[in-house]
Amino acid sequence: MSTAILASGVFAAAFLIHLIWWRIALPRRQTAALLAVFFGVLVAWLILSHFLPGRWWTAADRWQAIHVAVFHTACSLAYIVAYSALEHRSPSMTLLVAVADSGTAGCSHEELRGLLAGASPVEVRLDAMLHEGMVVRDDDGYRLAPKGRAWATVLTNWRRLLGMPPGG
Amino acid sequence: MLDLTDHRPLIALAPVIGLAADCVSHVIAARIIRGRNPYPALAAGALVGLVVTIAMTWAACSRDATPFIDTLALVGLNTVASLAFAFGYFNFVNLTVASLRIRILEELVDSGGQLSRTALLERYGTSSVADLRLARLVGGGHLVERNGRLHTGRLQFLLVARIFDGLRWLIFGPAYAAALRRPPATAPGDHDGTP
Repeated sequence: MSTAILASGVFAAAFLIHLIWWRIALPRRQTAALLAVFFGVLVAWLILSHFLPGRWWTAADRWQAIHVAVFHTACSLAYIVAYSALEHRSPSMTLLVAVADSGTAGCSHEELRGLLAGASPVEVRLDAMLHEGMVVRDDDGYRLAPKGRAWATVLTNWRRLLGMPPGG
Repeated sequence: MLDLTDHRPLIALAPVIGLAADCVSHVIAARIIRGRNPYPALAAGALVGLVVTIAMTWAACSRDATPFIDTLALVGLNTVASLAFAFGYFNFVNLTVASLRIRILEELVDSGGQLSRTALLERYGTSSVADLRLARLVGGGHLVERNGRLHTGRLQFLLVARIFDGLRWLIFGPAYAAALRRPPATAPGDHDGTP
């Protein structure tokens, strides 16, 4: 029981720090800040557990500390993955909510297309990929950078291993 | 040296072993269940991972003669961890299936590493992205068409959208959450930090 309480407590502490920080000011690099908060809290707790073992708020032994770390890592990564969907509402969700908000009248295809007009997902992605060093731009257009080629290779091979067709 | 009579390592690492079982069984299931829909194989993998995690935790607790209430707490803890790992793995696989960024990277690879901006924008115009999303939502039963107008169908995705709106309100505050309700320029599976 104490392991479950400790694991929940460490995760709750990290989440509370994240909540307070975000309410005060949004960090510029939100994913990096989330990783720093969640794994910073875990590392701090592990250090405290090493030097002050057996307190009600620290791990009693190595395996309890590892168990808490496994739980915290799993939940933190899941939250950080889910967070990306919180930052921006996806086009699919935008369409679904628009139809739901229209009530019994519903929406036409044109009205829904109009919702996404002006938002060019491809341009946004190309700009983000430029910013992240996945592609480089020159007079002839876009060229794959080594980082982009590495990501494409890893994910394409994984998809091929699964026997799935191209996505997007 | 590990003490083989101590089963705490098995209890602590059960979610990690469950994740490995999830990945392996997903690859096997995906090769058996071939087709456009990747989600049945993903669900099968997640189920195997969850069963492995729970069974391993329960068996190790029984061998250690852990009190029943503690066994329940540890099984609950590892179940949550296993579901969280499965969610992370699901998103990684979904990235390879649905991400427009990955598709653009693949287009660049197939074109010898270079493409003009015009060519890329022509291939993925805004209307084609909207049409693709609408076709998927109608195909999945999330939207239904009656008399040329679209209405709400299955409620699962809509429920997720409403839950996310609530979380935005909690994390960002009411003003920022309202600003986020504007139509986006992003697609599912794509965000800063992932390709």
